[in-house]
Amino acid sequence: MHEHRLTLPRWLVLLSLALGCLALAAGCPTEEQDDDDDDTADPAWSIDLDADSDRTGALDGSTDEDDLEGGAPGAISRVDVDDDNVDGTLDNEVVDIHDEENDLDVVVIQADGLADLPDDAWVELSLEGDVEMVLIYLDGEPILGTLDDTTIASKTLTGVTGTAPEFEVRANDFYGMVTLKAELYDGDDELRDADEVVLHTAPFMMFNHLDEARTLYVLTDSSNQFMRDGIRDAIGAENMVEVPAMQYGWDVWMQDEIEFGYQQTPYGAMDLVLDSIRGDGWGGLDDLPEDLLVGPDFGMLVRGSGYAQSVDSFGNLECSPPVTVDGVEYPFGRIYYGGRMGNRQVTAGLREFLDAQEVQAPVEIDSTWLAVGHVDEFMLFLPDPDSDKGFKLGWTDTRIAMDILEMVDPNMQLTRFPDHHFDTVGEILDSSLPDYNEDLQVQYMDPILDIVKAEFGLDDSDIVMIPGIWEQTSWGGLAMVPGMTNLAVWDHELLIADPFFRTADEDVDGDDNLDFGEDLNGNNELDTDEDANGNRELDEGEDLNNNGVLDTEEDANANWRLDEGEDLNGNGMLNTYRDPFIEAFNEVLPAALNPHYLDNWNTYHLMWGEVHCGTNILREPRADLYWWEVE
Amino acid sequence: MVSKLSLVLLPALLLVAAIAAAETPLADTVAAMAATSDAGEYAVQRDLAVAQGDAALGDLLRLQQDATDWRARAAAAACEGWIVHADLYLQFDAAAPAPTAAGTMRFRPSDVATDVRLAPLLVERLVWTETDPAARAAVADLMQRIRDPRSVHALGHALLHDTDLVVRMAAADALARIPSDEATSELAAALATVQDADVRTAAAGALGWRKDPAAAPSLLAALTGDDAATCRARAAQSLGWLRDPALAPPLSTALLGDPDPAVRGQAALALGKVGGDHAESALRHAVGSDPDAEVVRLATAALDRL
Repeated sequence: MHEHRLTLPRWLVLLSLALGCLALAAGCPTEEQDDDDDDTADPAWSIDLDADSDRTGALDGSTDEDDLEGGAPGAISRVDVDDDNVDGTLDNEVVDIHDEENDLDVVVIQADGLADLPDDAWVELSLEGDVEMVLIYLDGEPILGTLDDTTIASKTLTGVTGTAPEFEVRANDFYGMVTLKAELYDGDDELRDADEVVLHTAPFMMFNHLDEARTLYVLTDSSNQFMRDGIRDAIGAENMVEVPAMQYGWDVWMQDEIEFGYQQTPYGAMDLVLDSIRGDGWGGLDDLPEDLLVGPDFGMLVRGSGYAQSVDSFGNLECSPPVTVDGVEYPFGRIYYGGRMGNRQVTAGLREFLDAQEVQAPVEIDSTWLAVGHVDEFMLFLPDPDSDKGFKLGWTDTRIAMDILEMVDPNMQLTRFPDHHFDTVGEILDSSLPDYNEDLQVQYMDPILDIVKAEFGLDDSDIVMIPGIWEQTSWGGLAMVPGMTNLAVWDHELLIADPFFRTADEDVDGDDNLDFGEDLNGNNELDTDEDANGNRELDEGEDLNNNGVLDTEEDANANWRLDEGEDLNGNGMLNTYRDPFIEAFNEVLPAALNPHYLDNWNTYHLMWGEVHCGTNILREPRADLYWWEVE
Repeated sequence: MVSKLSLVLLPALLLVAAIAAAETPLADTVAAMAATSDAGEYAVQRDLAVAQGDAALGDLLRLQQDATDWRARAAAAACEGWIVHADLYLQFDAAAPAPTAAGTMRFRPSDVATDVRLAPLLVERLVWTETDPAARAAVADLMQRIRDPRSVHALGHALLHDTDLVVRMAAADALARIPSDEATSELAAALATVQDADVRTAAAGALGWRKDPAAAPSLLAALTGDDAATCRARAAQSLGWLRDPALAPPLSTALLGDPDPAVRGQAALALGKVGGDHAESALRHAVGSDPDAEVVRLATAALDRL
C-alpha cells in the first residue's frame, strides 16, 4: 500500500519543504528532491540525485524538477507489461535492463557531486515506500528493490569517488511510489550530505463511456450474425474486429473476459488489457489477450486468483464518467463493480489492486440479487453532451416496465416470449413475475440507487429510467425482457438489445426494408405490414409469410388495445409491431444518441447476457488530462 | 447414448440383440435400465433394446403406459425415441453446451431446436447417462424450455438426488416452469426432505414462481419449521405471491416472531401483497417495534401498498 496519496495537499507539500529547510538549517541534510539550490551544504561534500521529476523527458538539472506543487511528485515510470519483440514474454519479465529488443522504459537517476571527493567517501542508498514496485539497477545489475520476491531496501556503495553513477529504475507494478535516498559519508563515517528523489509508477486506469471509441471486438458465429451485422451498420466494419467463436470454445462473452485500460506517462500512453481469471482452467476466451491484443505498446495484466465466480467477469467491472462527489473530483471517473461482503465478491486480489490505484477510487455495488450478478445488467452510463455533466446514468426500472404492461392490451401477443413461457402480456401479469419484480425493486433496487446517487454525486435529473423486467431463477434475477440497459456505447451510437416486446414484426427501424437483424423467422422476407393496399384484406401477394392470415398491425388507433374491428386475423390477440419498451427508452434517451436495437436473442439473451456482454470496446486514452496533474 | 462403435457394429448387434431378445423379455431389459445407476450398464441394455428396432415399439409403448415405476416408463420412452428419432437424437448427441454469462453451461438455442421429441432423450441423459454435471444442468435447462411433463419426475429425481448443486438448482428452475401438477409435488417433496438448505430454498422459490395454491401447505410448513432462515424467508415471499388473505395470520406470526430479520422482512413484503386487516395490523406493529431498520423499512413500504 502507498505511504503517499496521489493528491498531496498543497499545505502538506509546503509544510514538508519548510521542515526540510529547517532540518537543513539544523545541519541535518534531508533535502526533498535536489540540492542544486542548497546554499547551506558544504560544496566540497555534496551529493545530488536528479531524476526527470519535471517530466520533460530529459535530465537538465532544472530546479523545476523540484516542483512538487502540481500533484504527484517525482519522476514517473510506466510498467513494461507489453511485449515489444512479440516473443510471448511480457517485457517486465526480462531481467536484462539493456535488452535491446524490448524498448524497456527506464527512469534514470543521476548522482552528481562525487567527482572530487576523497577515495574513502562512501554512499548509503536506501529505498522507502512501495519497495516491491520497483527495481533499481547500477551498471546493469539490480541492486535495490524487488526481484523474484526478494526485496533489498538498502545498499552501501564504496569506490564511487570520481564517478557520476547512473541508477536505472524499472517499474514492477502499477501505482507505487518510492523514495530513493542517498547519504554521503566521509572516511570517518560522518554524514556529510544527503539527497533523495521520488518516483511514481503509473496507475492502471479504466476507460469510461465518454472516452472516444477505437475498436469493437466481438465473437463470430452463425447464430449472432444479425447482431454483428447490426453493429457493422451502426459503427462501420472498419471499426470491428470479429473473432471466430469456434476458436474459443464458443465462449461469446467478450466483455466478461477482458477489460481495456491504459497507463499514462509523460512520454505517452500504453494500452492495457486486464485479463479476467474467469477463463482460468477451462479455456474459452482465456488466451484471447495473448493471441489478439498483447504486443508492442499493448500490455496485459491479470489480478486475483483462485476459483472464479460469475462476479469475476468484467461485465461486472465498469467505470463512470468524470464525477464530483461531495466536493471531491474524480476527473477520470470512478470504477465500480458488483458484489457484497458475505455474499459473492470480486476476487480479493483484484479488489485490492483496484483500490490501490486510487485515481478512480472504486465503489462496490450490490449485484448479488441477480443470477449473473453483473453491474452492467442494471446500470450503465450514457454520454449526454447536452447536459451539464456530459452524461446520464441509465438505470433499469421495473415500475416503468410494469406500467407498460398495465397500459397495453393483456391480449397483446408476444411472439418471442414463449421462450420465457409467456405468449401474451396477460399471462405475464397473471404470473408471479409482477410480485417478484416489485420485491426486487423495494428490497434491492431502490436502496441501491440511493447508494449509487451518493457514490457518484448524482441527482434524479442525471438518471434516465429504462424499463426492465426480471424473472426468478434459483441464483437470482435474470432479464426476462432483453436488458436494454445492458448496452454498448460507441460514441453516440448505442448498441442495444432489441426487447422484442411486440408481435412479430420485422421492420424494427420502420424503413420498410428487411435490414440486417430484422428477418426474425429467416425467410428472407420482410414480414411486416401485409396489408399493402390498406383494405384490411389479405390480397394476392400480401401473404408475406404464406401462413394464410393477414399478419398486419392491428392497433390502428395506436392505443395499445384490441378494439372492435382490429382483430384482423381473428386470433383474439393484439398483433402489433409497435414496441412499448423501445418507445419508452427512446423517450428518455439523450437527444444526441442514436439507438440501434439489435437482435441478440438466441446467442446472448437466452444465454443470460446481452449486447454489452458480447462486445468489448477499446477506447482512446485521455490526452487532455493526466493523473499526475490531479490535485 | 448410442456409441459410435455400436453403430458401426450394428448388424452384429442386431444379431446379438435378436438372440438376447429371444432369451430376455423386453420388459426385463427396460427394468434393468431403470434400476441401474451405472451409465455404461444403462447404455448396454438400451442398445440391446434399441437394436430390436420397430418390432419393439409395441412393447415399449405398453411399458410407457403401464409401468408403475416412472424410471421404467422413462427408459421405455428413451428406447422408443432412439428407434423412431435416431437422427434427431444423434444430432443432439453431437451438440455441446456453451458457457453462459453466469459461467454455467447451456445448450444454445441455435444448436438444438426445442423439439419436444427430445424429451425422452433428455430424461435419459439427466438420470442415467450424462456424467458431467455442467452438461446435466444444461439438460435440465433444456427441459425447462421444452416443458414436457414427461420430464417432471426426472427433474424431481435430480432435485432430490443429484450430487451437484448447480444441477439441482437448474432442476428447481425447470420444475418452476413446467405446467404439471406433479411439478408442484416434486418441489414440495424436496422442500420437506432435502438436507441441503440451498436446495430447499430453491424449491421454496420455485413453488412461489408456480403460483400454485396447492403449494401453500408446504410453504407454510417451511415458514414455521425450517431450520434455515434463507428457506423460511423464501417461503414467506412465495406465500405472498399467492395473494391469499387467509395467509395473513401465519405471515404475521413470522413478521412479529421470527428471530431472523431477513425472514421478518420478507414476511412484511408478503403481508403487503396478501392484504387485509390482519396484515395491516401486523405491519403497523412491526413498524413501531421491530429492532431492525431494514425490517421497518420494508414493513413501511408494504403498508404503503395496502
